[in-house]
Amino acid sequence: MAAKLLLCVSNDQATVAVWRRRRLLSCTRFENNEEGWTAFGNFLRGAHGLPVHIIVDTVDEDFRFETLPHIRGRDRTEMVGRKLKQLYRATPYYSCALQERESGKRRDDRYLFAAFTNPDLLIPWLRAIEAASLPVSGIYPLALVSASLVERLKLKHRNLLIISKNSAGLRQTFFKDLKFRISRLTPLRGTTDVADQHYADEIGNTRMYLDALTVTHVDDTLELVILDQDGSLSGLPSAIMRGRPNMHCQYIDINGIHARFGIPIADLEASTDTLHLYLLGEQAPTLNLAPSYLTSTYQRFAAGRWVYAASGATLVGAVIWSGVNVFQAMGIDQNALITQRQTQDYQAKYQQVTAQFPEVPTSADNLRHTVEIAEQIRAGLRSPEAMFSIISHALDVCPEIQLQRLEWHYRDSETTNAGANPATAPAAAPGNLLQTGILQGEVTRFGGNYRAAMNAINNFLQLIAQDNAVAEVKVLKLPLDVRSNSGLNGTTMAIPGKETAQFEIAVIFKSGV
Amino acid sequence: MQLKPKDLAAMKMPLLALAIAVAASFAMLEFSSNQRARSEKQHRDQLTALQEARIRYQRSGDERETVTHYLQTYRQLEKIGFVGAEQRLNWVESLRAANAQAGLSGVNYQLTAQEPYPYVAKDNPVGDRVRQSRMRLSFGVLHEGELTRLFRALSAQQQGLFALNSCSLDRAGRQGAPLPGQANLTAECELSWLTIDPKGEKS
Repeated sequence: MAAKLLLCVSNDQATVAVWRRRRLLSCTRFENNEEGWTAFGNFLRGAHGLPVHIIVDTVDEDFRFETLPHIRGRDRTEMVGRKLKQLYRATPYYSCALQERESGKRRDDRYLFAAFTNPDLLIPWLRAIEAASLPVSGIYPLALVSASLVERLKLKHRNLLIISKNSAGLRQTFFKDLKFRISRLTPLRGTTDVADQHYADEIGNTRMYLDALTVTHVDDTLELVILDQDGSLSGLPSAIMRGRPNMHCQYIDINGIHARFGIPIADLEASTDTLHLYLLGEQAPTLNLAPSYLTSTYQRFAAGRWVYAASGATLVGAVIWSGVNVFQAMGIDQNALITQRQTQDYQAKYQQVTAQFPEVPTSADNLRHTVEIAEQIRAGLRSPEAMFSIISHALDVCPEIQLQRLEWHYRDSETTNAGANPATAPAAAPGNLLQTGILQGEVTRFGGNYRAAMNAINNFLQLIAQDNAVAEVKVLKLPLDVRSNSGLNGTTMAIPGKETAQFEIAVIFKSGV
Repeated sequence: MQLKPKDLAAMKMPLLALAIAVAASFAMLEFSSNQRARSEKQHRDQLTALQEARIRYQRSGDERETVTHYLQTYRQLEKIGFVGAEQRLNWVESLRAANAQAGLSGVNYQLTAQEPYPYVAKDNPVGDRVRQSRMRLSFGVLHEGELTRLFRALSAQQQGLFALNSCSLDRAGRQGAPLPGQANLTAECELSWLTIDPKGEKS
């Protein structure tokens, strides 16, 4: 928890303490006079940058409950603001808090309005704080600081009156159904016996006041919790009990306070305001009476502190995350090192084994692949011999056919069809290569008899096509183009011995031949 | 809430601290994340290397068998000039010798620059190392049998591995029965001299 300065101001004096690590330090009292203000100013010089939280314990205070229509947002802010200004014209120290919604049909809102009606009380102390450039966090009535006692002491009573004796006097704060209702301050009396009776009478008056307001019923039992820091109220319970029977007292002395709150005895003995300073240190009330111009420095201070905290959190988060990364990286590096050693072991073993191998010019895989590819190429080699043999056989049977030109190609089927350059063709598997042949020839002893010539050519074609190695024989050109989809011209005035019956055929071999 | 110059001035140092913290955090995270990523990559590489080394060691028996089985054939391929750089001088000399053996009057040749050989199995990892130099031959022959004889003689020279791509025989206007002792046919052929780069350097 961040350090802060806690100040309790009353009509006669002010008590200040530094709150650090849930402990009150340097608890010091200053008189409400010129000398005290100067000493307070000197004290503040040692409190660099600490925000100041102020409790005011004075009779010049006002608490009142107001019921207002239930509205929200800006309208509510404006309505409440108008009401505050109307109620407290003479002081800047006022505020309000929404307490509850009423159970009636209108479901109106019930507000607690609070103010210090004597602003002059705070002026010298705030001046010293301003001179020391310390931010004011808030100004709170002591009665509302007491509200946290209900929770801390686990009090469950419907009608509860907490009584404490502070430097300003006897403070009585009444809680109805565990909610703050009324608070009164009675100035101190000198002699203990007289004071006890006086305080008991004051408490009796408070009870009658509550009954008169019908906040409590005459027959209701009022639970009194008396917090006696300096032991001066030890006779108060018996004095109270003598007056009214339906009041029950719970007396907590300095040891009880020490046991319940963990506040060191020495701190409690240092000032009667210690308990409330401690309560403020732990948790500030929501109702803050400090005007915004007074807390603006603190707002900036708090925002700056949040930003610093965010910076720190960011940095810490990054350090932790980076630490985890580095730690994991170290673990991974360690594993990599182990893996590297294992790899080296295997490599050494492999070297030992391969040292016994015959000397090889390349890796075993390269060796195998090179030999396999050479075998593949060799298995795919072809020559025109097969085509020569088939054509020779056909020519032997057809002596009237004479060849002029013969071409043989061995290339992939796509190139064969497209007529592309095989060197620029895409890679083809050796199994896709085909043998093809182009034969250009003529029919001898033609004599203008196209029918006989065509028969001779067809016969020649059939002889070639009959071979098992041949897949297809295509006619590319005939002596006479008899197809219906093409034109035809010629002459019947044939000159004997000059006519030719030329043809051209393509022979396509089966795949794999 | 409206921000005033005083508010901004008061927030200058905290915001500066925040900026520094964010920058430092980012730098730290960047550095440590990179460090971790680098370590992870190194570890992955090491694991891959380990896997390879382990498999290689486990297969060393098979490797020995492979070497024993293929080495002799490989040496033979080296000897005939299939493995290694082109032996153009050997090719020309073997062509001259084949020409003499086939009893031809002469063979004109034209050799192209080396280029990739497309007709190899794609699944073979060294397939892309096979290169061809195409040689175009033109010569006169009495009959087709001389053409066959020439290529048989060329193959018998064992001075390289070649693949015949095409051949053509043209009577070139000559009519009637073939004349003995004369080149009746003009032959033109194309073949590919094949080599493989043993180191796999791509041209």
